[in-house]
Amino acid sequence: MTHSLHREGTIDSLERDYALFIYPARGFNYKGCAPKVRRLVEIVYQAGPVNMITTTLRRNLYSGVRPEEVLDSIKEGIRVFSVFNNRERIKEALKRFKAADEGISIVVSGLVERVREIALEIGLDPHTINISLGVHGGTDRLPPADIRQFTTMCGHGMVSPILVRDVIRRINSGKISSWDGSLVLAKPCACGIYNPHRSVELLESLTPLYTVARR
Amino acid sequence: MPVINQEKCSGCRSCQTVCTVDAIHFKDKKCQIDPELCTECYVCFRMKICPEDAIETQDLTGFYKQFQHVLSDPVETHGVTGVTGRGTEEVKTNDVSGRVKKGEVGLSIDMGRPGTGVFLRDAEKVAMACAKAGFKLAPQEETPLAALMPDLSTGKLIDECLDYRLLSVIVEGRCEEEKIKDVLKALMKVQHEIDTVFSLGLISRVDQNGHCKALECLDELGIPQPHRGKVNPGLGKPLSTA
Repeated sequence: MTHSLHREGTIDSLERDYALFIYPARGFNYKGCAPKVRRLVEIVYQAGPVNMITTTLRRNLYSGVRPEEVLDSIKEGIRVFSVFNNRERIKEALKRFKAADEGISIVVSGLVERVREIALEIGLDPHTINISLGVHGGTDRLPPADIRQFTTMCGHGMVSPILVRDVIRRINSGKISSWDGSLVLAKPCACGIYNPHRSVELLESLTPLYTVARR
Repeated sequence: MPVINQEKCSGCRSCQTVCTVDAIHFKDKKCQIDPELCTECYVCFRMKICPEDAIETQDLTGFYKQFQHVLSDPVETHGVTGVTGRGTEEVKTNDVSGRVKKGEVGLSIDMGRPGTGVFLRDAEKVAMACAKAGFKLAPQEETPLAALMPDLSTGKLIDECLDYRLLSVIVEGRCEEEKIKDVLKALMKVQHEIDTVFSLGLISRVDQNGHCKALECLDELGIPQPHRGKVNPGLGKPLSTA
């Protein structure tokens, strides 16, 4: 899930991108966690994420899966990954998590100052922080930064840079819309934190700049 | 390893678009998976991208092949840590586990991210450089790479595994706050000795003012000031105050 720490993009774009995890701790509170996680997932649904996957079902919000199927799949040891494109919605989810007091670890990945502000506004004291210190090493081997904005939206690197270029090509040739292209890019993401709304914004800004030959 | 059945393959090249490490080559009007580059992430198989259903899986022979697959395929669960998606909880549950305590700094050095893949020989270089600088590498119960490391105090990996390529693997552990500058210095040096990249995460308990003392040395080391992070707001129970 480390891409969730190292999501790349402009500050403006990242202002509309928050990943939220529900994470029972193995060896500490796994036992009996299922009904607690179920209540938290209900809160997430009500807050309005733009994508979500549970480890028990691995079907994202655009797969046709119904909320009841997701909730019924919840069992001990589940992890839940979601993404929001709106500061107020994630704040609402956190506020309700605090009130519910289920005792399950929550992590929010985003611009650190924004997440800190949200925590302050709802009276939460951050316990631990994992800060992104960037990418190092043979960085000349990396795909270009504008492509990495898409590939780093999956927590496990399942979105191929080749697929991103292929989607851009298909949008440019009028075969698909930028929304449908974003759903194509979201499909390989097995952790459900690919943000299709942010992806649409990025595709619409990039596609006029690209002339992509078919590989 | 996934293989492409050459009799079924029509040469449409759809599979090439989904491969995360460009390990599928087009030759003689057919697609083939390069076993040297494939990281066993199975995205080509899982996506059911092939219109001819030509992508098939083979049994993973041997421990290292299975290790390669479990760390590269995010839907697999690691047998020791019990965690899906590369097998480590990192510090997502630090409010409960207390893995990184006050006065300590953790690092998650995600080798091969984003998107270059990593040979374990490069993970070894980084682990050894960190260990030499005073970094305590995490044990097997916490992180999969430790299973290949007979001596955590050195970071040396088992020789037989060094030529295996994974999509990514995390070198993780912790050190006292006072040592973090030396460890980061060692990382900034070893980054020039590897044929891949790593994404670097620094983990710290947060003080009452939201301040993280470990970040004070970044300017001196030429590491850009961060703006992104993962925040654990302390909702887990029983809460660790360590």
